[in-house]
Amino acid sequence: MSASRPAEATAIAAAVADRRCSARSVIEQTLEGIARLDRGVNAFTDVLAARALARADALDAASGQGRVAGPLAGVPFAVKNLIDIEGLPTRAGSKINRALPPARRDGALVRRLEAAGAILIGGLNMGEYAYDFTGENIHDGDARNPHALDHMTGGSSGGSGAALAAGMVPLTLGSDTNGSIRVPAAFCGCFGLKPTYGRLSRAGSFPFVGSLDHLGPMARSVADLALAYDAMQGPDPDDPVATTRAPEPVLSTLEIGIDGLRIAVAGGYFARSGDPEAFAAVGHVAQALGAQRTVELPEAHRARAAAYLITAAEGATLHLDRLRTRPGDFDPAVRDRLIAGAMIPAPFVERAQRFRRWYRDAVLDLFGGVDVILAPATPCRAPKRGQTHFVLDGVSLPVRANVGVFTQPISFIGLPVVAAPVWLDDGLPLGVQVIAAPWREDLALRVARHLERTGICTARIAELT
Amino acid sequence: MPETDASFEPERYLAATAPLLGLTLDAAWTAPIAANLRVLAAAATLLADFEIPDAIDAAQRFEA
Repeated sequence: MSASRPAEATAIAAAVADRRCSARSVIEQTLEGIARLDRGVNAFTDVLAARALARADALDAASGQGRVAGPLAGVPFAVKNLIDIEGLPTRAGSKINRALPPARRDGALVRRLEAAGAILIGGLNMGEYAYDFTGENIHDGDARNPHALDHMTGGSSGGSGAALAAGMVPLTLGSDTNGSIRVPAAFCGCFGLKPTYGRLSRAGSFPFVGSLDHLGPMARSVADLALAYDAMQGPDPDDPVATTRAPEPVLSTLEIGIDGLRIAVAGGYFARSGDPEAFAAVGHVAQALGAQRTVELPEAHRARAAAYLITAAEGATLHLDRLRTRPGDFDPAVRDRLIAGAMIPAPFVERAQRFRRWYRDAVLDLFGGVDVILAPATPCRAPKRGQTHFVLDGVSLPVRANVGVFTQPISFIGLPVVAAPVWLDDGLPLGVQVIAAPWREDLALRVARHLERTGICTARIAELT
Repeated sequence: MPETDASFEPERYLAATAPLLGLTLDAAWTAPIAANLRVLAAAATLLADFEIPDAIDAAQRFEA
């Protein structure tokens, strides 16, 4: 592998499989890059050098004995630190969880990636307990946006976006309850896949909102997303909402193109309350795809409100004992939201869940006439770190609670989405959500791949020293 | 989100609810918690204003 530009996962796997390079050399180079770059970026909370090198040596030894390499042979990856890593407490961005016993085994998705030959190299910074859109963390320090270190990475999978944008690893895992993969993908200028709710196992990860939690991959290329996604699919009895559907591989479908796909732009709610650049990014993508039709997701503003209520109530329920016994050890911004969430009357939450069912049916009707819908990922580019408020449509709003205005109504009903990065100018990137009907990740990824191939959506590595 | 009903007083509500939940609140936390309660109340109002057919079940265990 070249020392000048970090390779993508597909290239690394091919080189290791063909024995053009060893897995050990890949890991050594990756560790060197993390040591050189992460002091400024703060994407990693744990680096697993010994484990990764041992795994690499085992892969190289197996290869030397003629064993067939897995599809992710030698690919280094890192995971948001709410995913279990054997031997470490699963901190989930918190101070409190550091007292937990070490995880007895890796999370399900880590095991599946490693079974395909990938090599876990570390745990990644995140917003406390995933209740965050900023990437800021008062315990571990903020993850910093490699494209402008004084700006937010977005969250809560902030380290997952930053590690990619800095070129430290080609593949990360994040979680997305209301937008926590798509927001950092947009702010850090990389690709992210939030699959259909239930598609990928969440077993062995610290939960936030069981009704809405998803795990998914982030990468600098669509092929890398697909490669990892295919390796992670499959039923898992350890996750009560995991699908029993057989895996539906997508990698071989990426180059089919977009002919025949009915692509529309989300209007109404998704065309207001954002900076002009957010809508310009969608327009740029829509024009490239020839998407002239506009559709309106009915009652999207209420969908966001319902997601907001369910998140606060379920999150608070999960953390109630900790709020009773250790309130002073939370990030105050998280604590205050959770305490408020604990006080929501049950009928409000039940009504939100009933609305969810209504909204799902209404949006599925929409997919009878379109295959893919485009929407902004965020209402703005990455704000500055420490910025608490921004102005949307003339109204000053808290950043932490409102970056997800366009992502929440989508994850609320579990639709699969690829967040694709757009660079309109020399400034920071924006993201566009490429949204498909449930279980049609293949369509969202095909469209994203088309946008990548035509140069409309690309991930960039920041120039860091 | 819409305005919250003016009769809702989040400071009094949280003071009354905290003991029920077993929460001990520092006085300095009242203002930010109350602010969050106002937003949540506004979200609930938005949903209350929308008629959902009685036959619609809750999606507690949601399947896409």
